[in-house]
Amino acid sequence: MTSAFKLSRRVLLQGSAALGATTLLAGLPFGSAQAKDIAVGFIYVGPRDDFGYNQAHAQGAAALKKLGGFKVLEEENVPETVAVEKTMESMINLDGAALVFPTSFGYYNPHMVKLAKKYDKVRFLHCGGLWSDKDPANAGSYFGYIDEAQYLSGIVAGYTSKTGKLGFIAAKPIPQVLRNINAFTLGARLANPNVTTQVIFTGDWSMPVKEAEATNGLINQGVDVVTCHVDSPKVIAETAEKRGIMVCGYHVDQSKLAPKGYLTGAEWNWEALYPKLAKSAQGGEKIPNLVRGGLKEGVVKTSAYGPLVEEKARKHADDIKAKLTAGSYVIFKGPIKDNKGGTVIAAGTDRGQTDIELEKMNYLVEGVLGAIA
Amino acid sequence: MVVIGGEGALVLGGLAASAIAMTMPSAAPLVVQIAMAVAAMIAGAAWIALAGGLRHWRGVNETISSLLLVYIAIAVFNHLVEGLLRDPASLNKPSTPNIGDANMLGTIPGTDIHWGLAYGIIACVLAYILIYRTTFGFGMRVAGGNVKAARMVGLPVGRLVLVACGLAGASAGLAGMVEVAAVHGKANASLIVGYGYTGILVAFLARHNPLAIIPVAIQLGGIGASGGLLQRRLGLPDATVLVLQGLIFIAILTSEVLYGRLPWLKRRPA
Repeated sequence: MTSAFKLSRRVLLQGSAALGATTLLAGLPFGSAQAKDIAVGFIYVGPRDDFGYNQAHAQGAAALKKLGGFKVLEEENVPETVAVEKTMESMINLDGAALVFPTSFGYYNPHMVKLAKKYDKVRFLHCGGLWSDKDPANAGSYFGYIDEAQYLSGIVAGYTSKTGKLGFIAAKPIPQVLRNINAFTLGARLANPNVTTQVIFTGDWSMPVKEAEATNGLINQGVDVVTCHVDSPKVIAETAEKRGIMVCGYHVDQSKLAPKGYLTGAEWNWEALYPKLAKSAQGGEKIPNLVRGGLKEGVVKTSAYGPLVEEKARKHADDIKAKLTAGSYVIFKGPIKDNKGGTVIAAGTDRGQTDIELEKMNYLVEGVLGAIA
Repeated sequence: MVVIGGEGALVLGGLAASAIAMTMPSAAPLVVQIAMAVAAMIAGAAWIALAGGLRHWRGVNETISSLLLVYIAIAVFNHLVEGLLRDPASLNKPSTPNIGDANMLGTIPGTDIHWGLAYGIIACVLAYILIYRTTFGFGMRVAGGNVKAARMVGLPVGRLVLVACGLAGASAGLAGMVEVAAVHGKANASLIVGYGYTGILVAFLARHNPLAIIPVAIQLGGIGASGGLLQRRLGLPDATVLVLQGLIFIAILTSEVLYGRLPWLKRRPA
């Protein structure tokens, strides 16, 4: 076979012209910043406008941008593979990032740890709370006790539900998620001891079709308040609103998606934390290796109450919120039984927020309908 | 014959590789790596051979069955990673135990590219030799193109189909092993990111020629890698990468249709 095309001079010229144009384009000063600004990179595992986990982080980045003095770099849909290493290196080498926020849990090990060792002048702050003293000193990890806000959602849901059946759509039966399900149920049973929470695990963080099916299935069983722990609560909130039931939000405020049925929600408050962490990096302060906090530290917050929340529910929730904010309330306070009848926290034992045992949670409390395995 | 279930063979290959590494904590790194590669290839080969077997003995369309098998493979993978093979210390991201730093494949000296690139190039060259330079490969091409014609000339169609599927699955399984041994050090949900599906696009754009896969794969990888800068410098959404890939796809499809029908696309006499 001979070549079907021959390169004519005209084609060659056209090609070089195109090449020249591309070079010119690359030379333009896109997104240039003033020399003094420090560059801060944010990496998201999903779309930044997902009404959920990633949007919460993007709102934090937006707050930093508004502050001024920082050049904010963002990348979305970066998988937890070698791709995130390349993204971090590119932010550091091409854009001079001095501080990087890889915001997904799976970015930490091996990816971020590896890069933190390689670039020891750059600060790495990861969302997930995983740092241990074996990890590099220029790395850090932060997380929030969002189960406090879930507990408050539970109280509101317990008062507002008419059927006494709540629904929880969860991604995976891992400690973080179980803690939210349990806190939500404990809160609801504080309001009404007969309430049950039916839990459905979808198996992954972003499964919109399964999440919609689960919501519909729960509603068909008589559930009249749903909440969730998945990356994007969007379809759950929309389905609940369409079917005329109530919903408690997660990650960010979803009241726009369900103006009638939105009760309240457990939200991250990265808008407060990120400017704080970035300023401390700008000032050259020592990196905080492990940052954790709940309502008291302002790392999490709750959504404003929706129209269906009665005065009694507001009052009780506000009361507990004040105690949690003051740091004088314990959610996981014995005796607590699991849903198989065994005692998981003995009477007289208080498991405060910082208790390491809570991070190994492997049970569902009494009142939760469903199983882990 | 078109098999598109590489994703399933890849994740199971990665799982088999990390599972075998768990059983040999004190073996020499080279032994562990070879065992991982062999285990991954067997797992991948068995998985895609299933689709081949279904096609040969039950007449099930292999394109569809191999795609559906991906979902089963991912379910099996999740079940084992979150159950039997789970490292108890991996609390919030269920994973198999780490294979150990000594057993990692590492990077090609002088670059930050891991050895997976070499594996890929060698696999492409071997596949080219097998398909275009051996009698077996010729038989495979005939059986793949027209089963009736292949039967008529007395080719063992069943064996060819099974072996071809097995080899394809073994390659995907090996890719899973490389992901585990060069990047993650363990098997977890990070393996399920669609590399198997990207492989379909690469194979199509390379017009099923193993040697053409090398430049096409590098080109598609480059487009994927450019996504970060497109987002940061030009403020474009991440989907831009998909649009670029789609443009290439459409250009190839269009040129296929128009080839020889437009005056300036006429084949010139030799």
